[in-house]
Amino acid sequence: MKARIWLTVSIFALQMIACGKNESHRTDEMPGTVPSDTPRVEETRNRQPPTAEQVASSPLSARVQYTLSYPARQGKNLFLRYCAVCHGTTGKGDGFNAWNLQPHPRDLTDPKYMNVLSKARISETIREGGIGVRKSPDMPAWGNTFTDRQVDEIVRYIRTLSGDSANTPQ
Amino acid sequence: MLMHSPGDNMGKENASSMTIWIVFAVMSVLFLIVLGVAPTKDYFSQWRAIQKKYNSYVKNLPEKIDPVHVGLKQRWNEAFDQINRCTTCHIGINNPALNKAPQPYTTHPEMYHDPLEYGCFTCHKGQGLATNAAEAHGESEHWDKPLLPPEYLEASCGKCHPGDKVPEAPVLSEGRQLLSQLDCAGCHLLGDRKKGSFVPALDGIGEKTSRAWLARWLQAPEAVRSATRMPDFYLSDQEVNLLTDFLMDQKKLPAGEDLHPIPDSLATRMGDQDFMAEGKVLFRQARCISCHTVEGRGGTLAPELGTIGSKVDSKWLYNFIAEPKRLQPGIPMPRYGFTAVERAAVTAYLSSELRDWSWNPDTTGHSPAPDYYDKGMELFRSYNCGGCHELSGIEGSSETGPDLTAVGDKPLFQFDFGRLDTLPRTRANFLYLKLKNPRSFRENLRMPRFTLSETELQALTTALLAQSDGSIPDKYVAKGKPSGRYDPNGPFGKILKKYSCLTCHTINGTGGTLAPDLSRAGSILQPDWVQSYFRVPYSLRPVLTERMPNLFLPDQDNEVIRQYFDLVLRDDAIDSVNVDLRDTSLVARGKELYRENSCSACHQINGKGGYVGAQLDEAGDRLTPGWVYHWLQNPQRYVPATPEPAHDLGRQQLEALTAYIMSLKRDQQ
Repeated sequence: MKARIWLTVSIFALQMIACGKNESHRTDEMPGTVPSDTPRVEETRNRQPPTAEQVASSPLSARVQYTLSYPARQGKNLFLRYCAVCHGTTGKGDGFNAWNLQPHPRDLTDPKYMNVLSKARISETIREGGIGVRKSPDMPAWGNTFTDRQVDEIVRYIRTLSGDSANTPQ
Repeated sequence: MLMHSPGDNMGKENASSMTIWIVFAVMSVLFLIVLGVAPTKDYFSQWRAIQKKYNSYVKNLPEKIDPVHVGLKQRWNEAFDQINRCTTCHIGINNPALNKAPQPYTTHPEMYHDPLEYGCFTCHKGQGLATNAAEAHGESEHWDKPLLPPEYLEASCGKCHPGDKVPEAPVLSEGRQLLSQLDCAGCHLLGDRKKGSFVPALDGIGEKTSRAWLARWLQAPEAVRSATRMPDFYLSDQEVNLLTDFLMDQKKLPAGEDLHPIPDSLATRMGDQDFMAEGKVLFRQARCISCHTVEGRGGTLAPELGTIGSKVDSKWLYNFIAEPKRLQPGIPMPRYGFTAVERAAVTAYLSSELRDWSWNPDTTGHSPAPDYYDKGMELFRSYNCGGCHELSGIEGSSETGPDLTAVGDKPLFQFDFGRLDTLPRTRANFLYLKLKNPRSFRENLRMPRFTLSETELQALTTALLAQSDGSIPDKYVAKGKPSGRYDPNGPFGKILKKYSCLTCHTINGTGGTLAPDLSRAGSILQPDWVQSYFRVPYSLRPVLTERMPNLFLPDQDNEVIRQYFDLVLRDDAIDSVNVDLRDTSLVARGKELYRENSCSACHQINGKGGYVGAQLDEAGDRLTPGWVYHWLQNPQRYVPATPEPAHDLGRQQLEALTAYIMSLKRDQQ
């Protein structure tokens, strides 16, 4: 019991330490972009390397807090590669190709619609496409492209888009 | 001694045997207590409580899951020679029914490898033999391989998987690409990793730029150009002056040559507004912003050009556009087929219009220190500028950074935390901090600071943690495909170099991934289309930023490309397909299939449809029937990560679709 309390406290403490850098800051940043705190010209004159005190007092940690579980992160990578062109990078159905499609792609962040769908139904839609579930044929069938595990990973990620918390890491 | 009276002896013996008896009794009691405590301590151990809790947890689940037999569990992993007791508490890692269970009972996420076969320690590190969570997971002073934080876990993939692209490990892959892009191997030993990307040579820099600009640049590179890869060396003003004066003395081009003068007839026109306007049009036609950015628009493959006029001397620029590789060997910039007049016009436009209007260079005279050359060279060598920048005649520096070949397995005590020794001593912490603030551990360090986002810091730390000492058994190390570099001789080889085609395109496994693979181009494209395309290249995918530039290709080069595509870059498997393209009923059936499968969700014909795939207008003039057929049969065979889904089409459907797509010709519209 005591050990459990310690474990909880240490996890909490770790989270506190890592609070300085939250996931949204990290993941939404495109690789190659310059962080907004890049020094301006004036500030960079006569610069010195930071002192030990400055380094120690700034919120510093090599820890990154993931808000998604491992399979959901894998699913996110797949989603961004294959689905985001129509469903949008945030799943709102606003990808660049969305306006060419009638009806527009589904807003996957809508909890009212999404959270009543079963996992099996979402998997089926991905595998069989719009035709397979009597929806718009513009959604292609991906069953021959993805393995079952990949479909499952995408479903897990889609679940998180509508606020389902089952895929956040424990 | 034997003469003592018996009575005396008796009294003494009684007293001492009493003491012994008391000592004996106390010791016995203590012994019994110790004997009792040992099993009790074991009985109340953390893992036993966890297992008992597990048993009561599974009892309440609707599915029937067998309770665990209470006892320490351990697995010996023969291949990696390790013993892990992790499954003592992580009971459900192999049981899919427990994937909703809380930690430590939950199922292991589905993986590319069987976690039990590979062993927990192989990926996660930690202390496999420990019997309580703090020791197994924690950062113990006396344990050299503490548990790897989950966000750096992909480092473990890299211990067995070499190569810059490990598709299942995106963080690791990004980190490894950064190792190349930032030229870490310029200063550090990193196994067989070589200096990765193109960095400008400094030969002739004295002719290229002005003293004021160079000084400003060395002072704070990222303040001048925010997207630069050049790191900040925290140079003092004195160091900036010495280094600048030393560099401004480098006037000769790489092969010891000089710049050609701009012909007088053109030099006089450079200030002419109309001439500049002409240059601007050419700059647009050539699509320079496919790679360069100007005023926030354009690609990121090449440096930003917004202030190029303030930086680069116009004579140098004129020579550079004429022969980029003479001034900068190895530069990816293609050699455009401009005439001398066109070159001068583009130079005039860049030099006069793309300037940094907010910068007022210090034009007061500067007199170099008497020993500037030697001192500047000393600085050049001490900061190992030559690790990235070539400069002929200057020998390399021996004072480079530490060997990072096995930094991911380097013993923890060898990391010098210096004045930050209060930080948790983990490899991830050290590497992350070193990358973020390279000079924070001690005084007098020389590593420069790179401008890195948090994502990039995480990726680079992961890639460095993956640098292994080779302790992984050989049979588990993934062997990369042996890749002979594709580097043809003859006219086509010259063209590939002149236009730097392989910066974006790949042929036979060599080249970039930004543009289509050309290995089969001759079997995919019709020769006539290839020829007309190079006259005025256009993009088949309207949403792309990085488009094929217009290289102003001379006709003879165009002809070489057409012939080489047609004769060499072929795939016989694609060529052999027999579809009757004149069968109108087949075409009609194909059109119907196109509609049924909603191909128009991604592809455009006559301006109708999506932008994800290539436009299919005039596909019949562009593609070969064999390619259309084989591509639709299995797109992933040719481009594994293509967004085109794998369709399940039979032979007749494939033939019909091929016939329809091949019927889309210009004359028919």
